[in-house]
Amino acid sequence: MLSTPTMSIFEKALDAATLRQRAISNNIANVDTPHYRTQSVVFEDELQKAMAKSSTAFTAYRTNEKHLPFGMASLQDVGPKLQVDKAVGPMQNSANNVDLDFEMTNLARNQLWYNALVQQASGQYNKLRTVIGGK
Amino acid sequence: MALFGSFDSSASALTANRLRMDVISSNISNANTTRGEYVNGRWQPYKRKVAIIEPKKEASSFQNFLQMAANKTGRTVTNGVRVTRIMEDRTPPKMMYDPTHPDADARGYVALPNVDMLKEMVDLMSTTRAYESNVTAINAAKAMAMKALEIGK
Repeated sequence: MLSTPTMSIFEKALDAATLRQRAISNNIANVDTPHYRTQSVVFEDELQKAMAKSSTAFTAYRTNEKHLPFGMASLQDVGPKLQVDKAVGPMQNSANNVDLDFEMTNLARNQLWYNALVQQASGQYNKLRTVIGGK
Repeated sequence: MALFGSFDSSASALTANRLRMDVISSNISNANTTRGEYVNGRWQPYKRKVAIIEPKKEASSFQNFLQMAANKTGRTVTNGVRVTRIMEDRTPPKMMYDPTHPDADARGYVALPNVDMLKEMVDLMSTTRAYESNVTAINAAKAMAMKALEIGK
C-alpha cells in the first residue's frame, strides 16, 4: 500500500530532479572550461507521454528483460536520461557552450520543482497517517 | 544519493576558482617584477601564469556506476572541474627603454613581465562571478537536501 503508482512516479521525478541538479552544478562548475559541452536531463516529457498513453495505448508485455519493448513505453521504463548538448548554442571563444544565465534560472526552477515534489510526496504520507490515526 | 555528487562538483569548482584567483593575484602583484628568475647570469622578468582547467571525470567511481545502473541514465555525470597545471604565458616580455635601470640590456632596454593588467582584471571579475555562482549552486543543493528530509515528517 505504501508503494502506490503515485509514489513510484514521485520517486522517479525526484530522482530526475536530483540528477538534473547534479548536471546543472557541473555546468556551472565548468563555466570557464575549454571545450566543455553542457549536460542536461530529459524526463518530464517522456513521463507525460507514458502517462497520457498508459491507460489507452497498447503496450507489449515483457516477461524477460531481454525482450525488446514495443508499443508505448510503460511507466516503469521511463527514467531520467542524461544527454550532452551538441547544439551550437551561445558559444564562447573556448568552444564552451555554457550559458550561465540559463543555468542559474534552471537551478532555481529545479529547486522549486523539487520542493513541490517533496511536498506532494509528504502529503501522500500524511493522508495515510490520517487514515491510520482514524481521527 | 546524487545530491552529494552535486556538492562535490560545486566544491571542486570553488577550489579551482580560488586557485585561479591566486594565480591572477600573483600576476598582478608581479606586474613590474624584472627579476623573476636568474638564467645564465641574466635576470629574466616574471612570466604571466595561467591555470589550465579541465572537467574532472571519475567514470570508474563506484558512485557513478551505481547511479548509471539505478537511473538507467547510460551516461555518467562529469564530476566537477580541476586545475591540471599552471603554465607560463609564452608571449614575449614587454620591452621598455630605460638605460638607468639596473636590469637594462646593452641597448638600454628593460624586459618587463608580459602581464596585461586589463586582462588580469577581467579574468579576476569572471573568476569572482564563477565562484559566486557555485556558492549559489551549493546553497540550492543544500536546500533541496534539507527539503528531502521532510518527506514523511
